[in-house]
Amino acid sequence: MKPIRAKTILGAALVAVLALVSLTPAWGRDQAPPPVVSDSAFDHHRRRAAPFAHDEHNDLAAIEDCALCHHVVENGRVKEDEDSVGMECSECHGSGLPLIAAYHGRCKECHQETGLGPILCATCHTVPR
Amino acid sequence: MTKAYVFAAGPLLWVSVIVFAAGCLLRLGRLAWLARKKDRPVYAYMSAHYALRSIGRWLVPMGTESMRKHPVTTVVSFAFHAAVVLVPLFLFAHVLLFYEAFGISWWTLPEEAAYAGTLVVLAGLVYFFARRLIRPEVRYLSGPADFALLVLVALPFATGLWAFHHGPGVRVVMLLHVLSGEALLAAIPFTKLSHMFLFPFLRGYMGSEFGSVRHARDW
Ligand code: HEC
Ligand code: HEC
Ligand code: HEC
Ligand code: HEC
Repeated sequence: MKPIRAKTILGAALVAVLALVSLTPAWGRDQAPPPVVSDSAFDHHRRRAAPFAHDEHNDLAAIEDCALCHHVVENGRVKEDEDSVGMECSECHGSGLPLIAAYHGRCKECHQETGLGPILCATCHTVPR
Repeated sequence: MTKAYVFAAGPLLWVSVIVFAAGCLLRLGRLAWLARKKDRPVYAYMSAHYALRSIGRWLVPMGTESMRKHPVTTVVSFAFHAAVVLVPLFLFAHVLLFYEAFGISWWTLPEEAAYAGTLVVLAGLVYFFARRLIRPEVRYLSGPADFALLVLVALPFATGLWAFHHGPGVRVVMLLHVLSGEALLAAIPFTKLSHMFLFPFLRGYMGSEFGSVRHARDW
């Protein structure tokens, strides 16, 4: 019998790793996926989705003012007693980097200030699409 | 954890950038002063023509005699150096964070390219590490600091890759990513990594000496 060549072993290892990687997203798909933020302005996704269970999150974080996120801004000032509930952030914040920065500016900033909630790319963008 | 990370990615980042910039200026100033003291004629025979000629030569893969003698090291080295500079500067996540902080952004690498570049960097470091161990003429010149430096360069790339894959312990790993990146940046002016900004001067010096004094090539 011919001895097994190093190339064969490498090839087999590569196939095994690729199979494993392609299978991983299937794990843990038994439960329903958590609700995520999904703005229609992002046409392709670089990251996994960010989970956001709207009402539970805002209860836990004790946020009462809807306009903290769904705000209306005029001349650089947030208009009191008005909100933009029902609008997507992208309707005012465009797309691409400015839109991402609007989401991060709202979500990540508060998590940083309060020391609660995720602040890293990998701890917020956790839900496979 | 949030506090530690915010501190590392905030004030500490400023410290490392300032140490890096001031360190580079200091090293360059010291070099100019040393040349004035020890090798005054250098200023007379420094020639833009010969300097640029030599720098250009050494920037072309396989452009020099020693590169043609070591083709594998040359290929690994060129790929490594391209990746080690391009990936951190044009990584989408880095540009995004810069944009969020300063409102300025620039071109970014596709994620796949950044990923491949990171693997190239890590593979290159393994190669350099092995080369220092195996080749007697290189081993003779290698001290513990040289190996430590390779590990220091590997850390930010390995931890970045880890976080990109959502590996376990990602909070600690990301803290390590930021801290090791800052340590690396601050170490550049004070270690052999200073060739990053000194190479045009050293090459230009050699090029001028060979060109205007010895009338020979240095490649
Ligand atoms: C922490 C920020 C935040 C706060 C506070 C907040 N929202 Fe939202 N809300 C969002 C985001 C982000 C979305 C988009 C989520 C998505 O795409 O599914 C959203 C979506 C919605 C939607 C659309 C849901 C859908 O299915 O399309 C409604 C309605 C809404 N919010 C109402 C409210 C009301 C009412 C309040 C106050 C009680 C409130 N929100 C407070 C962030 C917030
Ligand atoms: C009705 C239009 C409108 C909607 C809808 C809207 N914004 Fe804004 N937002 C603005 C304007 C105008 C400004 C001020 C100019 C700017 O910074 O772009 C602003 C500013 C911001 C800022 C920076 C200033 C600050 O308040 O910290 C953030 C962050 C932000 N928006 C996040 C969001 C998020 C997240 C959503 C969706 C939940 C959203 N916005 C929905 C209009 C809107
Ligand atoms: C005003 C502050 C604030 C804003 C704005 C905010 N958060 Fe949070 N978030 C919190 C706090 C506080 C917690 C921790 C809640 C807890 O577990 O006690 C949290 C927790 C979370 C968690 C972890 C939840 C869990 O189950 O562990 C996620 C995910 C999250 N936030 C996503 C978001 C997203 C996405 C946005 C933007 C649309 C957002 N947050 C905006 C305050 C905020
Ligand atoms: C606090 C949670 C949070 C953190 C931390 C966070 N993001 Fe996001 N990010 C969001 C939310 C919410 C959106 C809007 C998601 C959507 O609509 O698809 C978003 C959108 C994005 C998008 C555009 C959508 C996509 O998948 O292409 C990118 C890219 C992105 N984030 C990258 C990053 C990077 C890189 C980091 C780390 C430097 C990061 N994010 C950290 C919450 C977060």
